[in-house]
Amino acid sequence: MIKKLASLANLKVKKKEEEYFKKQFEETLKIVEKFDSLDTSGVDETYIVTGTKNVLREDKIDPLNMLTQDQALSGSKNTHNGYFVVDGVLNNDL
Amino acid sequence: MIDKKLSKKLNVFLTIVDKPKKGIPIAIKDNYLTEGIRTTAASFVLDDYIPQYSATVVKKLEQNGYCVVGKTNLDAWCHGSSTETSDYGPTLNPHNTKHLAGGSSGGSAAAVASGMVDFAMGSETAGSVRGPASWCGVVGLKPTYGRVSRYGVIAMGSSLDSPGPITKDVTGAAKLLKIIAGKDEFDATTSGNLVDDYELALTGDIKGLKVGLVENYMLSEMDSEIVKKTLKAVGLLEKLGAKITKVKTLDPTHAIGVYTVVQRSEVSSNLARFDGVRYGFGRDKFGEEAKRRIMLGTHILSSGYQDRYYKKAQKIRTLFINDFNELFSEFDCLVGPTMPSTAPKIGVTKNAAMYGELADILAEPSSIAGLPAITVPCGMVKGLPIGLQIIGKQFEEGKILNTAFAYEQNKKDD
Repeated sequence: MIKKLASLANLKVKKKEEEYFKKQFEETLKIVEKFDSLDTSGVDETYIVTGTKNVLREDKIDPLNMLTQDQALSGSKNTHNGYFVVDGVLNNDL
Repeated sequence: MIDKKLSKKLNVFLTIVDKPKKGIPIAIKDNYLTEGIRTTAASFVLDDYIPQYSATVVKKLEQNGYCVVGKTNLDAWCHGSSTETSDYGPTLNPHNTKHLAGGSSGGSAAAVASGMVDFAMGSETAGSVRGPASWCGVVGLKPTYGRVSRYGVIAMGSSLDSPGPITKDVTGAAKLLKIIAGKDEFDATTSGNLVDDYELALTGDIKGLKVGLVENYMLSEMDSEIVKKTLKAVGLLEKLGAKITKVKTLDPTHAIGVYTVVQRSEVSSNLARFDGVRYGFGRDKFGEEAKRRIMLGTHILSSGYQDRYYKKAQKIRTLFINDFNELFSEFDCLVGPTMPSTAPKIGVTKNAAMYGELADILAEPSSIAGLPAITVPCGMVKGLPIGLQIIGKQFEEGKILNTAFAYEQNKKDD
């Protein structure tokens, strides 16, 4: 289970960590599951607490609020001709 | 300007600005983006990250005469209540260096408590401002969700995150909130509600204020001295004219589960963006706590478990909101202790996967309901500070600030 989760989350977990994480997940979920004692039938879920509804704006470029190409690339360790370089994805076994 | 020796001793600042601009010095938690100043979120993933722009809060503070003097330590990605998950080591408590400053905004609380600055910014998901402020004996304000912009604050739990001030006194918190509150076009969850003049709200007059003393926040395992001092502080509010009534809330232990589920889920989504392509290092640099939270969040959100955990948690969130709404139909604010204990000793979080969630039990209910709350120092227990917590209705920061102010102005030194 831990191996699968790590792969889904794009993380590497060492073999010896697997058992450790598994035990901790079980402990955590045991604490979480205490909330099962509360009856929630007929109760709606809350995803946003202040009641804000969809906020829309025009899809326009604001040149005063954008990074230059140089600024955008300034933190990257691997660039090529003004672009970010990323690992290939097509050959990865997902 | 910053006492570098003291900062090193307590492990307060991760970055000190060598030549700060002119202005009132303010320490900023290292999860706020600061243009040109290294920002790490206390994780090796961002060890060399220099942001190209500043968070809205930082911009607003700079426009109003404050200058960033340094970036303070925190639990890595804000994951914790101790600063022990920081990849740069824990921040020590200025009152006793064998104890922790708390977290996740521990560096900011220690910076104020040790006298290095009078003003600091922290951020809270549940307890990360109030907890360390209480343990370090300073004032910490968690505003209503959406009152202060999250733009440029490295996200932890997006439906909970609330940037908030940590200051020497209540007036300082009111001053900072007045500057940082308000709608931000870059954060769609910010509210358009008018921003009150929080400094003008500090009249010190609380005659007739209806205060609910939350009896079930006095946990059975709590040190009796904490209970005694909290009741003494509430007694002072009564002397000042407040009407105190004992109340009970929905059992806060249920908030632990809600908070854990919601926060882990949001963490797993928020931390997916850190891939080392545009800035920082790769995902192999994530520490143990981050990995644990990302993976548990991934599990909770995977098909078959969403209803079981995520939806159930969001339903109980509604129950907490309803419970608070009922109480606030009768009361102006609720009071109780901020933390169940004083600052623990270094090493307390070892092998304790749920340490933070359990320590923050008295902050979680109000956080999941998006309410504002403040902690104000109310004495010492065995040489370590404790705080009085005052919780208010959404967007009524003025009322809780004034209640804290009335207490602060009239309390006798412990």
